[in-house]
Amino acid sequence: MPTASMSNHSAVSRRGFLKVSTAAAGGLLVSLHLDWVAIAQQAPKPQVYPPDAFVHVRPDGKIVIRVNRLEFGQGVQTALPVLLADEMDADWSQVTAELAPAADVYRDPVMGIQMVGGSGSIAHSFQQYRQLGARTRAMLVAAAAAQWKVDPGQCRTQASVIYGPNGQSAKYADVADAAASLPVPQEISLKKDSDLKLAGKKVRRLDSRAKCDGSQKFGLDVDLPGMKVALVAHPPVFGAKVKSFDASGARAVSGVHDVFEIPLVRGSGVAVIAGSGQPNRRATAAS
Amino acid sequence: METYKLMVNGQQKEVTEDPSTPLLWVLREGLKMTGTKYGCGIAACGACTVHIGGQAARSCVLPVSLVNGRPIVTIEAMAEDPVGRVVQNAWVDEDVVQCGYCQSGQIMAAVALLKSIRKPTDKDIEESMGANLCRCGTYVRIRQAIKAAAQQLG
Repeated sequence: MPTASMSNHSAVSRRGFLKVSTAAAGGLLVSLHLDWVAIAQQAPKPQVYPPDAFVHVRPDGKIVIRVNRLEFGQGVQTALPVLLADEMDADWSQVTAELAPAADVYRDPVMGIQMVGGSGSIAHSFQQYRQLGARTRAMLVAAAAAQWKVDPGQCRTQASVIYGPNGQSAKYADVADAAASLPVPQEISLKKDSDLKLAGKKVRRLDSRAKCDGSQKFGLDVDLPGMKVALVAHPPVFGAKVKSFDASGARAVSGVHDVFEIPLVRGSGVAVIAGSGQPNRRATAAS
Repeated sequence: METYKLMVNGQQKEVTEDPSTPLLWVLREGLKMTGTKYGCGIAACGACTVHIGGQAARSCVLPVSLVNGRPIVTIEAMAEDPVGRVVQNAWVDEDVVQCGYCQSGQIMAAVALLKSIRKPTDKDIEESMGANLCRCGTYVRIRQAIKAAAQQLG
């Protein structure tokens, strides 16, 4: 998988996230604040993202779109695929979304880090995902046009099918391999608003079914081979530090691997490490 | 440690656990069925709701030793349940979920409600679902989906 070079991305200082100001009533107001102008000025130059890192057209016609941000209820796992699929003229009923893995190409185009937050998902990746869709479409059309020996400009697309000037037609899935070997076009144009079919319309969420049948994996559901689970007993007061603790009770619980003091954002707590969650809970209670 | 025979989603399972271990952790860690969620651990939020002997129950505070052979049904079995399937479809049609973490419990509570009251009123929904918390605030759509499911079920 090709990765885009974003090594000269800007590092926005963590301090830039927090703005401390005096509220009108005289109190101190600390708010999440992003200086968009400064960030935009520091932002990396717009780049051509490689479609194959974001879109996979499978032989069975299913289209998997990778989302560069975590879904946690805000709907981004549906919204960004909508933007891409719309420009691509993909058959929406065949689109599924998946969370992108950690890689440079999935960094936020504005912030330069792989992240979600600050209500920036759509603002930052709106153009990115539309362009990805337009580039994917252009490559699929170019592949079909080459097979038909026609000008790509004479072809049109709808619901994952390319139509040629002389009655030809080809499914996206049938030309996907040929398209993948073509160069990624630099210049593309995006649809006019009036030509958009999905963006701005009511579209059902892509993640509903998995969240209704128990199959959606959340952080707490991750279970890797040999994985240990840490549970941290926090002090009763924020910022308090552990003076001393007796780990003998916790260590006596079967399955407990280790017990140690651990620094917190402020102060410290006691971490209990075990092979799975249940011994931790018993040992944490005992510590 | 004791060995217990549990009937989970129609299948006999044998587990060896401390008698005080809550059913939630037997399901999630012993049986690797992670659809049932851990929320608060004190029966205050409803994310861990399962059916025990046909009744909605909070598995995070129910010691495995007190299940006593009663059949356990979890979210993983809802697609095969005639009411569960209708409720899940209504949830999808009404776009109920946001983050989705509480929704296994919401659906289990809604299925239990619809199995006891076929045409629940707003008051019935509030009384039986009111203690299933959702931080995303999907309550309005939950109510719509229950009503849509009730209509479907006839």
